[in-house]
Amino acid sequence: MPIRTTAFMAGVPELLILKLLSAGEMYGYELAKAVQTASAEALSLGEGVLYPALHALEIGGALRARTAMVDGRKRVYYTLTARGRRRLRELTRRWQRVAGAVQAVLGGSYA
Amino acid sequence: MPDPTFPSLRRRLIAGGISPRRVRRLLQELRDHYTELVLEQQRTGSPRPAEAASALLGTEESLAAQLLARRELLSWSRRWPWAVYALAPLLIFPTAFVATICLMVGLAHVLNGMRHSAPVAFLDVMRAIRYFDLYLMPVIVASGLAVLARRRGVSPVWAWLSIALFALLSSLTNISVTLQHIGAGAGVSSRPAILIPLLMKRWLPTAAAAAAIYTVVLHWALRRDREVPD
Repeated sequence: MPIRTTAFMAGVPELLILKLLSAGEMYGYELAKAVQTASAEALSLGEGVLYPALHALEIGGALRARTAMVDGRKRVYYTLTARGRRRLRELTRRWQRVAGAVQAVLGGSYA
Repeated sequence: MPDPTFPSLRRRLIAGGISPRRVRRLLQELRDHYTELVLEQQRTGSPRPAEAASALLGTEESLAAQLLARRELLSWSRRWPWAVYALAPLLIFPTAFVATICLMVGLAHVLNGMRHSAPVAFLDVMRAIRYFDLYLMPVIVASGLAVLARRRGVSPVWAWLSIALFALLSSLTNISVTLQHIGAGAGVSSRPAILIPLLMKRWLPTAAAAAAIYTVVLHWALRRDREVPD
């Protein structure tokens, strides 16, 4: 069962989205699938997390959106901007610090 | 199968303060996502692909709650109502007057270059601009802001504050235009007279009349708004 992103993982959906979009443009469903595939089905971005995060990142200037017609449907594709790349570096550093700190606690001799 | 236009989600999001344009795009993305989920369920041989896709998409309540929890998605008028409904009316009047004076001075310069142009037409234009600034613009902007407050689900207090401020400002403000020396050095003397109506003790009936006009226009706009289908 994949872990659904929740409040205690604040910032993680943005990090995953920015990382996946750094490889090229994607649309919502494609991103959700890519998160599952890249995390070996361990993580799943719910629609209620994915779309608010995408729109918030776009409003913040980290993403750019364009609409295209695909199979008679309007589809919104997202690409990373220069600001998005900076945000990705910043979130990656923050996550590595948190992950390292948690690992240090788990590997420590406190019990 | 859910209604692919998500009518109740649309209403919830707009009432929650997300701008209609963003809501339109969000729903378009959710529709596309839902279609992809149905296709995926069909590929995996699900006996009820539409129901399975709906379950994966989540309920409208949870989607609305998660979308509205992101403050960045809310419109300006919802995030900073004081700026839109209180500060904007205070800024619009001086801005409109400065713009009017600049326009008048610019026109006077044009006339000066033409030398033999008719001052009557110039004065007519000036008079029209003055009436627009003093009477039409406040009605349009005050009623527009009040309709916006209603559509964005902002507290009605902000709409009434906006109307009251516009009524007060329009009753306390006047602008006079005097044309000098047309043909040989055209000039315009124009000044906003903010306190003159106050000193003449006629601002209160004017403010009440302005507020009444804005309220009538607001009610008319809201009725029209209700008649337009989603």
